[in-house]
Amino acid sequence: MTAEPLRLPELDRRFDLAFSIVIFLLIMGAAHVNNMLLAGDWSFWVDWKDRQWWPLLTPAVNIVPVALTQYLGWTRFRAPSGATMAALALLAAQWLSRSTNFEGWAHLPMNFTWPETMVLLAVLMDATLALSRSLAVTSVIGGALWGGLFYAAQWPALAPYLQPVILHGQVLTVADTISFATGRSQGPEYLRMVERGSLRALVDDVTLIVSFFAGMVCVGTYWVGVAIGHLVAIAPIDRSVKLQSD
Amino acid sequence: MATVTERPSTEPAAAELPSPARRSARPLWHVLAALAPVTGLALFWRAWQQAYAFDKGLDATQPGFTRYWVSLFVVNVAVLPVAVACWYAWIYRSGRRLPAEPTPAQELDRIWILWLHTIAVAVAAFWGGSYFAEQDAAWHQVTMRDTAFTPSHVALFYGAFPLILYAATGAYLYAHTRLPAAFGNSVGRRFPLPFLLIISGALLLLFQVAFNEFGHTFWETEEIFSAPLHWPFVVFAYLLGGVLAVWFQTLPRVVELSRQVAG
Repeated sequence: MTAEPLRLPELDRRFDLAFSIVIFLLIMGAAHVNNMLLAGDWSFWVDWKDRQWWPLLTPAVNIVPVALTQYLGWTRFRAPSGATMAALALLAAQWLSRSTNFEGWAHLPMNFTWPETMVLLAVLMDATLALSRSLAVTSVIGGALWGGLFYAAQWPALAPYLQPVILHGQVLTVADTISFATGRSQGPEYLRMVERGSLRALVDDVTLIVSFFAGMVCVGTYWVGVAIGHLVAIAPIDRSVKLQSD
Repeated sequence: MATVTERPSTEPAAAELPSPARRSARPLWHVLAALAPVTGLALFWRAWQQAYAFDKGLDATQPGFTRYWVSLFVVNVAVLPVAVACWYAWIYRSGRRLPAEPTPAQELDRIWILWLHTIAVAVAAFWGGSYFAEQDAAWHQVTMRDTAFTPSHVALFYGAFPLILYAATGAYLYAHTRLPAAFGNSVGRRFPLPFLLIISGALLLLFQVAFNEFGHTFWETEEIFSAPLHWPFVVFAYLLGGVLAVWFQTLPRVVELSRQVAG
C-alpha cells in the first residue's frame, strides 16, 4: 500500500471558512496590540517617523507576530503565505482605526496619522521561505530584508512630509508643521522621541546605518516569534495542567 | 485548508460520497451568528461614543457624565455578567442532557460549534485588542485625563476586555461539556492547556487594567502609548495563540470524523 500526500477533499469547507475568519481576526487583534504598545507612537504620528528610532523599533517588534504566523502556516499547512497574511491583517486593523477613530472620532487627520505598511516586506519574507523551504534561511535573509528595507518601503509615503518649510523664520519639515497645527493635549512636543545626536559623525548615512542594524536585529527577533508560536500554539496541544494537589 | 495528510491512494475521494453533515450545514449563517453578538455590542458602544463622548464625556464632574457614561459602565460591569452567567448555565445544563457517546456526525457538529465559539473569541479579541485599544490612544491625545472611567475606557476596559474573557470561558465550558474526550472529565481534575492560555490571557487584561490605572494615578497626565506601563498588555496578544492550539488539537479529529460521516 503506497501513501501519498493529499489534500483531503472530505474536510468540510465550513471549517475552512471558520479558520480563515478566525485567523484574520486573531492576527488583527494580536499584531495590532503588539504594534501599538511597543512602537505605536511612531506609527500614529507622521512627525515621529524619524530616521533613528522608527526604522529600528517598528520592524523589530512587528516581525514577531509576522514570524509567528509564518512559522505556523508553514509547519502546520505548508503555506508560505503567513507573513503576508499577518501584514495585511495588521494594515487593515490600523487603517480601520485611524480612519474611524483618529479621524472619524478624535478629528486627527489621516494625512497626519497614516500607518506604515509592511506588506512588501512580508511578501519578500514569504518568497524567501517558498524558495528556501527553510526557516533558518528565512530568518537570516528574510529577516534582514524585513528590517533593512523597512525605511525604503515607507519612503514613497513619507518623502512629501520631509520637504522643508520656512515658518516664522525657522526651517521645519511639513510633518513638523502639521504637528504644531494639530492639537494633541496629552502629547506635548517634549515627549516626542525622534532622532537625536550632537556630533552627527555619520551625517546623511544615518538611514543606511539604522536600516542595516534593523536588519540584523530582525534576524534575531524573527526567532522570538517562532518561539512564541511554538510555545502557545503547538506545545499545548493535547496537554493539560493539574488543578489540585494530591 | 491545505492540510496535508497521508492516506492510501486507493481510497475513493470522500467528497464524492454523500455527507449528511455537509447537507445539513449552513456554515455562513452559523459564522454570522457567531460574529453577531460581540460585533453588535461593539457597534453599540462605538455609536454611543460617537454620539455622547465629546458632548457628555469630557468632564467627569458634570451630571451628563454620570447619566451617559457611568450608566453605561454599570451596564457593562453588572448587566453583561448576569447575561453571560445565564449563558454559561445553559451551556452546562444542556450539556448534561446530551448523550455521553455522540455519533460521528454529532461529534463533528460539536467540534464545528466549538470552532464557532472560537470565532466569538477572535472577534472579541479584534474589538478589544485592536479597535477599541487604539481608539483609546486617539482619545487620550485630544482630551485631558480626569477619571479612570473615560468614554474610551468604559468601552475598552469594562466592556470589550471582559467580553474576551466571557467568550473564552464560554468556549471552554462548551468544549468541557460537549467534547469530554478531549477537554472534559476524562482527563480528570486537569485543565486543558490551550484553554488555560486563552483564559489566562483574558484575565491578564483585567489585572493589567488595574495596574495601568494604578500607574496613571501617579504621574500620567501626558500620554506615550508605547510606554513600559502598557507593555504587559502585549502578553495577552500572544496568549491568544491558545486558540490555534485548540484548532490544531481538534483538526485531526475533524479529518477522521469527516471520513466516517462521508463514508
